[in-house]
Amino acid sequence: MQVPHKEHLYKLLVIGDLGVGKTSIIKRYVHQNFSSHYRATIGVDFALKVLHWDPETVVRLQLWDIAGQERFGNMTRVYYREAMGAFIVFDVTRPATFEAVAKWKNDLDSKLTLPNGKPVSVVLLANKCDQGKEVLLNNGLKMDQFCKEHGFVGWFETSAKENINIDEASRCLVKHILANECDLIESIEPDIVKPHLTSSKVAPCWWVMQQS
Amino acid sequence: MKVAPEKTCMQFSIRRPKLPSSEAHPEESMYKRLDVSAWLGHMNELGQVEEEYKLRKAIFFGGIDVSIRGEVWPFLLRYYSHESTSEEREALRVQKRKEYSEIQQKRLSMTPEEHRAFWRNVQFTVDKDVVRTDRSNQFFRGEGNPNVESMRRILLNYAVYNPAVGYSQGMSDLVAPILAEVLDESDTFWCFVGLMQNTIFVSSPRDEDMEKQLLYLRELLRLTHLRFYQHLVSLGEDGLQMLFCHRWLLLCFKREFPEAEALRIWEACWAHYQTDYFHLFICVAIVAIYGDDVIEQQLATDQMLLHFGNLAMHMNGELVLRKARSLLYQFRLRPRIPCSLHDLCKLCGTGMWDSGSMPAVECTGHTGSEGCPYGGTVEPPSPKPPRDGKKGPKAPREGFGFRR
Repeated sequence: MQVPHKEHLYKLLVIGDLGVGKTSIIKRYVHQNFSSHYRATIGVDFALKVLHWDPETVVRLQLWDIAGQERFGNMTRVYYREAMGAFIVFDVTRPATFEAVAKWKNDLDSKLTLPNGKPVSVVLLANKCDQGKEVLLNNGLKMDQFCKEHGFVGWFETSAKENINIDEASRCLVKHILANECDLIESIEPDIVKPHLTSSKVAPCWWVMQQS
Repeated sequence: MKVAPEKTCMQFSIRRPKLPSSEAHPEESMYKRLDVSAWLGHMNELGQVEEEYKLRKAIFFGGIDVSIRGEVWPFLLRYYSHESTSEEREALRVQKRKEYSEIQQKRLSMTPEEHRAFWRNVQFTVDKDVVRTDRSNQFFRGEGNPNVESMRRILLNYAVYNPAVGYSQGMSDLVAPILAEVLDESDTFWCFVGLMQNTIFVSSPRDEDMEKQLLYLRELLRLTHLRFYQHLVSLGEDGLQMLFCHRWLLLCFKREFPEAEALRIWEACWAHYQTDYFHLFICVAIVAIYGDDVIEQQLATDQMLLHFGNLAMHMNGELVLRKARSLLYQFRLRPRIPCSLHDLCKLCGTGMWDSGSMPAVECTGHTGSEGCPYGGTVEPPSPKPPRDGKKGPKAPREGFGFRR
């Protein structure tokens, strides 16, 4: 019997204050390299990444690298359109970039929702964790709390430079998007039978991390 | 998403298109690069540029030799006026240097509170950006390079000089090549001031400017490349936003072409020959030369972004420039233009429609008692629509309302 082959294409946004390492994260994830001198992103760029999710499923990701400096309030609406998920990035060495996280999240939620009206899945990335100044993260419980309050599906300490946790963060986001999609299908066709997915609820990623 | 799975891994071939000579601007090969002797030939014994229009035209077609860019750019960027004598320019430089140092002094004497705000709104971003701007250029290479420090001061001082604009990302990309040619910090600053005042593509913190550019570009495409325009329309609102060309406009193609070619394009735009919007003709030229795949393969919005993004640094700048000049020529030959493109014919300076016919303005959608603000008239559909060509009817001059 032939295994049903599923393909998904998701547009993911990478947003956050300027200089937090959005471009670096994408380049690391997609091209497996790093430079400390990426030019400032102007407008929008994107890169593709293919994930062999499981033997039956291929997930193609479009990672949209969006300029950190707020330039066009309206234009970001266009950049955000049809995205299924997002990473919001901050720099652990600069507390101001963490303070801006809630602002980015609110902006995103105000401009983008899933077809069922729910907010898209967002993972918070605490980047540059290799620099050893993660004052903010000393208390992981507080971060968990912050994520719950602001509706993030998870958070990760990442380093584009040292390639830490970027794959993990992406898997977390994709897992939630896949689950959301099941929700969406079920909400449109409530009678659909999905035997292999008894629950559409996915545990938050910080929980998963603690268990593994 | 609209992307078919097989399309996410696109086959990519760089074509080497040619521009048939029949499509080229008829004056295309009449100008060679402006070199020292040609440049001196444009000046009288007092050092005044005799016929500004001729100079701009020569630069538009031939570009400027690298050895004299630093001398000529200050004229194109309106730091020096064409009528000024060499002596007057020296006096101006001295005065402007003093002014520049006063601006810098103002920056350095902020109160701690002012400085905190300045640091947050401007300096932090400038500091981030200058060290990642044009690092491959020998002029800015290496740690602790004094030229990077100059660039930094220019941008910081500009934000003090023009706090309403402040600093927007992209400005460092625009100022760096000027500094590398003009060399002097104060002169570069004033050239940059001129650039920010006189060009439209500058990075602006506001939406309206970008939207205006996109509106003109859409109209220009509709007029000159209907198939591509129709493709955009078929994609709906998102297609018409033309995400693929935002960076082209914001950085004036700096990241789309190798530097030598990008700077040729800058010069051609700065020449303000027959239009202030030559950069839009460059956009159309890129689409005309490299956009066939987009239409043939019916690429969606995101695929278009990828298509043109992948073309960055692989396009032929000279070819694009030739095509753009030819497009401007064809545009000029039109007996009538839609009122939506009225502004493309508006020009600072003289010599716009110095010869040939003036196009009539055709209203494309203003209704109500106010009528068309550009004095455009609605043409009754004629059985034989006028073709592009020299024989177009001479249009009434009052069809044009220059605001200047």
